[in-house]
Amino acid sequence: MKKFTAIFLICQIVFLLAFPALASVATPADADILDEFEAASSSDAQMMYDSLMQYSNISLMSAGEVEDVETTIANLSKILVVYRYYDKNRKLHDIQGNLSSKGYFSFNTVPDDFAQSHSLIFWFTETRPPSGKYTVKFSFASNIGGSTYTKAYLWSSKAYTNATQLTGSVPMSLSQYSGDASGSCTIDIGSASSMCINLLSADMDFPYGGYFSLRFERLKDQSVEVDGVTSGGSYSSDNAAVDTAQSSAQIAQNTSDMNDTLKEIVQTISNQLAALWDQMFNLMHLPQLANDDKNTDRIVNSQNQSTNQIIENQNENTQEVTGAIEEHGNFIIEGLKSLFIPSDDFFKSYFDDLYNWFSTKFGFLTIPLDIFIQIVGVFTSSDRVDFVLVLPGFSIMDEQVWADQMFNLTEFLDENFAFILSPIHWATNIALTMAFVDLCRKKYDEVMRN
Amino acid sequence: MIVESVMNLFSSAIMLIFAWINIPDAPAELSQAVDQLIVYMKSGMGFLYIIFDMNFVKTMLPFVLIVANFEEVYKLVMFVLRKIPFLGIE
Repeated sequence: MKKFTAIFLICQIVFLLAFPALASVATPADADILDEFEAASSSDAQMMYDSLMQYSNISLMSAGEVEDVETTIANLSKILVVYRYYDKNRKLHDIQGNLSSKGYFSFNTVPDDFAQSHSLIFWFTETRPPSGKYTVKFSFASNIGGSTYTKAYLWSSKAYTNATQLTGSVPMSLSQYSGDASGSCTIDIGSASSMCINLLSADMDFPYGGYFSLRFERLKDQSVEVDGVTSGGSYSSDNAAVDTAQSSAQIAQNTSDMNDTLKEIVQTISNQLAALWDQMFNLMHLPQLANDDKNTDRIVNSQNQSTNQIIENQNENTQEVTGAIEEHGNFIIEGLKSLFIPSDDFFKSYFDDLYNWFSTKFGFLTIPLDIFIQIVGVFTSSDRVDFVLVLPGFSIMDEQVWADQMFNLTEFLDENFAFILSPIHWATNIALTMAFVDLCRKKYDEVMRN
Repeated sequence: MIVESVMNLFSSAIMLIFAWINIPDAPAELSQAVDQLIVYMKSGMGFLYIIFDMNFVKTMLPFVLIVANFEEVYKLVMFVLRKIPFLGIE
């Protein structure tokens, strides 16, 4: 029994000693794992955990074997830490945050769709050193403990304009103990666009956090071989030309942006100065402007009054001139009329006077003329004449037999037979009209037919 | 004024010419008889007023006179028109 127990312990020790040797060798299977990481980083990663466990190179060490790395990064807060996890549908999700200035981070809240952790990723693109060959070391002191990391590697990418980007990774040695981990590798940092360190672990339960430290040690002999090269290769003259061109373009772009910004600033300042000037001008000249306005109003009112007065005077003068012209015209016209046309009552008085003179001088010889004039007057008089029948009075031997008897037939007919007079007048008008037409016809025959 | 002066001159000439004539007036009985005749004529005009519309008659009378004396009226009008030179009527 003791022999069996001793053999078992020896086998176990041998087995445990063989693990670090296996973990320090990168195998082709590692490349497959990295490809899966890139796919997961892109979008839809598939199940990786099993494969990671299959190719893992775990190195379990004691507490004293986890190296405490002193950082060379001036500002650790520029390092972005990403906690990547699976949901129940085996899809990857990220939660992220920056390290503190002391390199601490902590993810306390469990996401609703959390199913299993995948990895911790530390992005240090902005804090990387210049191009060259370095020994990269990191350490992570977990504040919880208990996690096991399956792999650590340095991942980089190189982006090209209008082309796909290059990606690559360099495995790092990994030492860990109860969630604490450290690792290192040598690498040639070229012109990579972005760089990060990945720690793969499937049992990083929330809350999870700790202190992260990163150190770059530049190799004195830059000609030695290193574990790997970042994507895009080593820094060369081509990279320098491209970088110079890109830098020049970037500088030109920045200069243009700054120029635009300066123009906007100058324009804004100019507008503000103009507005300020207007305000100052108004403030300084407001009383004067008010007085100017008042004076202007007074002047305008005075001018309006003067203009109205002038217009009224002109109207009066025009009326006077017009009246004078009309008076002169009327005077001339009346003078001409009085010169050639006798007054209205001239002829009447003239002929009356002449008739009276002839009556006086010619005596009884004017009786026919009187009779003719009176007959014409009777006929042409506009006064209506009533038809009065007179029965003269009769007396014998100075004894009156009967007095004069008068009967007004016109009044009698108007009072009793007015409805007959109108038709009679209507009929006589027709008869007169017909007679006039007949007269015209006869006259036409007489004149035109000789 | 001119017309008045001409007519006054004419009447003055007439008066001057016939100033020497002084014929006595007619007897008063004759004058009364004439007046009575005029009264009867007015009464007769009253009878015409009953039968005829005298306004219509007075309106038609000038036209009747003109038509009835057309030749004389025509000659008078043409006599006047011939006196106007620019019309050129012979």
